Amino acid sequence: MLVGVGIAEMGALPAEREACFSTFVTLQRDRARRLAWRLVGGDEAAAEDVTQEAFVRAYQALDRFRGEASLETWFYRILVRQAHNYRRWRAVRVLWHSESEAEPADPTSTVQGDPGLRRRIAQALDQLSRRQREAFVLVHLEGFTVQECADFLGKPSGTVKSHLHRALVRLRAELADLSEGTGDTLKTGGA
Amino acid sequence: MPSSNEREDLKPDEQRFIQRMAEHYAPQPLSAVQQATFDRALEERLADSSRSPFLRPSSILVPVCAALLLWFALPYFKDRTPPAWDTAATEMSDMQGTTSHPTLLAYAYYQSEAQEDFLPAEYLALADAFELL
Repeated sequence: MLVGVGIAEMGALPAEREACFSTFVTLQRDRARRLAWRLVGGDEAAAEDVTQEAFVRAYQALDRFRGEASLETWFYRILVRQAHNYRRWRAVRVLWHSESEAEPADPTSTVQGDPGLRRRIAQALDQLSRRQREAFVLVHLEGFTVQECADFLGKPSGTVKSHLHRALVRLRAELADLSEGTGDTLKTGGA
Repeated sequence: MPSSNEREDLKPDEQRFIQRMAEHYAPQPLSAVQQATFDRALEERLADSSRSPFLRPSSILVPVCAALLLWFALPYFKDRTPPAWDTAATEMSDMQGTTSHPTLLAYAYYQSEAQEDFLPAEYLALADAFELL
């Protein structure tokens, strides 16, 4: 659940706003990076870049923040869009350089756990539509509510629920062993 | 992982599936050094973004260079006399309709010695044929 920061908490003076934004960055940094990592397909460098760019864009537009939504909603909306832009840019790059970048960057060198399984999850998420993927990651993996997710995506909550349901069905079909097996019986992927 | 109201609507096996997915699909927390690097990079980007665009070198240099280039180049193009072949062609086009071809050829041939360099060999041959030399 988000802790709402509105226009009143932001303060009227630029210095107050900057101080508030600095606190906001400290509080949201880890979650923002984790969300970006999941949205861009597990690419560590891309996740950091997307996160930083989202903070920069939010900071640049701070004067235009009028408090209709909480600062978190406003920021995560930027972050989700930024992650989508990155994915789109990567898709274009893959078209031009298909020989070297057919897959998203492999995150396994910097993270613990099962690299094969992580790759399979990334591939399964990749097969979802953009909205299904974003809704699933936001609600089920990151723990935002449907209403918060709907605010981020600018969609009605009923639409988000529909995306969630379809995403779950597809992912369970794709990663059936994940819901059935224990850790010992999980497939780790062929790559 | 924070639980949401939607999670509680799910069946136990669905919850278990999502829980496992969340566990296996997460980045490693940053170390202290990585965190410091991340913070420093973010601070630099924020500082760059807050700097006035008029103070950035590229935003000054490019328009200034373009303006200087225009400033020095425009008088050259404005005061430049057109080349001889260009003048001759213009004058010849003005004479079209009022002058016969041999006259035109003679005009072209006798403009100046320098213009002979610009006239093609065919013109010279035709001028010879009409005895205009």
